[in-house]
Amino acid sequence: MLRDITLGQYYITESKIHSLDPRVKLAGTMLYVISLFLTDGLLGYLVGAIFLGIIIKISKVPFKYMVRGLKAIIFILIITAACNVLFYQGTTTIFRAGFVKVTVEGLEVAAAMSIRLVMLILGTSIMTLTTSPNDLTDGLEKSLGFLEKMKVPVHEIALMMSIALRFIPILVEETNKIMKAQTSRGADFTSGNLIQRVKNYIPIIVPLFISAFHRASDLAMAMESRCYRTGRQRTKLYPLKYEKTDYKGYIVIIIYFIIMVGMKITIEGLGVGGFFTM
Amino acid sequence: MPFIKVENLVHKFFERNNEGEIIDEKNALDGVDFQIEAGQFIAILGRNGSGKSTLARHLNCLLFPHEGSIWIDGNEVKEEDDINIWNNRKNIGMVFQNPDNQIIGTTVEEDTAFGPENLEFSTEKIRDRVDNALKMTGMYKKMNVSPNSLSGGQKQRVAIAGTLAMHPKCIVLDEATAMLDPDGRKELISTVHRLNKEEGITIILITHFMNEAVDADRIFVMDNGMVTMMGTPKEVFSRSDEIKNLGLEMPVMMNVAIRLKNDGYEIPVDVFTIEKLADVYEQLYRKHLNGE
Ligand SMILES: Nc1ncnc2c1ncn2[C@@H]1O[C@H](COP(=O)(O)OP(=O)(O)OP(=O)(O)O)[C@@H](O)[C@H]1O
Ligand SMILES: [Mg+2]
Repeated sequence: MLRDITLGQYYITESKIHSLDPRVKLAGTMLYVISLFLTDGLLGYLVGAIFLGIIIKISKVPFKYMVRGLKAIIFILIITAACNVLFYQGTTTIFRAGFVKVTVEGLEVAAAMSIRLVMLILGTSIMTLTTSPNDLTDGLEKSLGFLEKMKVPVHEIALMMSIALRFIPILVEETNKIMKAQTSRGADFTSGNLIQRVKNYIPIIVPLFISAFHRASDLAMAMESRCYRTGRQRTKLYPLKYEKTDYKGYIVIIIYFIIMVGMKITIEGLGVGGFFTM
Repeated sequence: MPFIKVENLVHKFFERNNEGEIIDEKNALDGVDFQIEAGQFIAILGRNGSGKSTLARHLNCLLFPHEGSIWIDGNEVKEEDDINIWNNRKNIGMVFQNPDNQIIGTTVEEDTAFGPENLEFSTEKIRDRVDNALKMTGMYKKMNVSPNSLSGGQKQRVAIAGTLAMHPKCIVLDEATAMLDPDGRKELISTVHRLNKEEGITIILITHFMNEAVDADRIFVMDNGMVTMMGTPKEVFSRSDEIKNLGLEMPVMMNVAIRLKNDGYEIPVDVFTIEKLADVYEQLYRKHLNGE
């Protein structure tokens, strides 16, 4: 049933990565992404891939499940790769037809970009796959807590996010209901040109918005009646607290990052960065 | 001093035009007076638009009087007195009509914890309150479940648990059974009665279902922003003509009883449940057998 859908793509199982504090995972993901943009050498990608492989293994998320997330971007991947291969202005030409020129450099760049993109998606999805949406908002709230000093209502935004998460399945179900109701009154959502189709959706959007506003006002009242006040500190049933493994997690990710940076300044500095030339 | 005292309460809703000028006003509450003792079970009846929800919102400081006064637990409600307002919201829990629109957390326990978290309790105290509240409402086993996967009745019990976790002295249920199926309704009403008897929590039950009102200590009937009838179920439902004039139904069993009475049988006035009616019928039948 629709109401049971898990949001995001959280994969429920128990693993060391799952039980890690969300702040560690957030910081780790960030460092990992940065490290990918630092490297452009084969060795760098190799280390990055091995590190990612180990994390995936520990997370117990089946690789098949992970790759699913890639399907969505396969199109973008092919297009960027093709563009790079065909139009990159390299010097060592392999093949030439009219204004299209395939060069060694072009192939290199295309391969590097694709690998980087794939690793980027896999790396970030490890976080969303192993962290429940709730933990994720908690983690964000805590990690960005310093913004509170600059008058950014971090706590309120986090609460909004978690309420949105709760209401998305409800609103999805409601959309379906309204759609069925309008279809039974003769509305047609499948034919006509684009503009007509968009117009056809108005009888859905309007009632949906009205109902959403009703819900929002009801919810605000329910929250107030339960002593909610904006701009006040709240305590938590599950406050985020670092355990020993979390510190170990930080250490692992920092070591990884240092290795990547180290490689960038030493090996690549020596001029062995090229992809095929290495 | 009664637990809740309401005196000459008036609340107006204004209708404004686009320039913000008031073009019409309506007294949603028009001089309400009553007192409620601690530990009582009160049912409030009345047709649509009679002012029940508006009254309920005053008890929880979601709305404030335009005229008259409200005293809760010995303190007068004042819009400027923040501490008093938060105290009242803690002491008087509210359960609303739509189960989906009052659950905030993404799991049952998280929702129950929302109130205690707002009251800035320690983690241990929150845990304790949440566990107890969920046990009291029979939702302990569903602690880690998403509210979206619960039935309507279960959601409303979670909502009750959410207020219980703040240790309220009173719970106001504003048509909390209206969107439930018969089983969910029964479940909820029996939970509320249990809380009233075992925990001594004052209950104010706003409802359109007469059979939910018959077990109350007292019934208030509202019409046009006023409390027009007040008394025990027996007193209120014996005035069946007035009840019908106020746009309400009589409890089904009472209708049967009244018909029998009109046919000349001797029937007591407080036949609210089918069991009671069966008893009465049996007695009549015995008398009949004895040759009367
Ligand atoms: N926010 C509002 N703005 C304007 N008028 C309102 C507002 N809320 C309620 N009213 C009016 O106040 C009167 C009392 O409404 P209230 O919601 O208290 O009735 P009720 O007894 O709870 O009805 P129901 O059984 O339908 O829930 C109604 O006439 C209603 O139209
Ligand atoms: Mg109402």
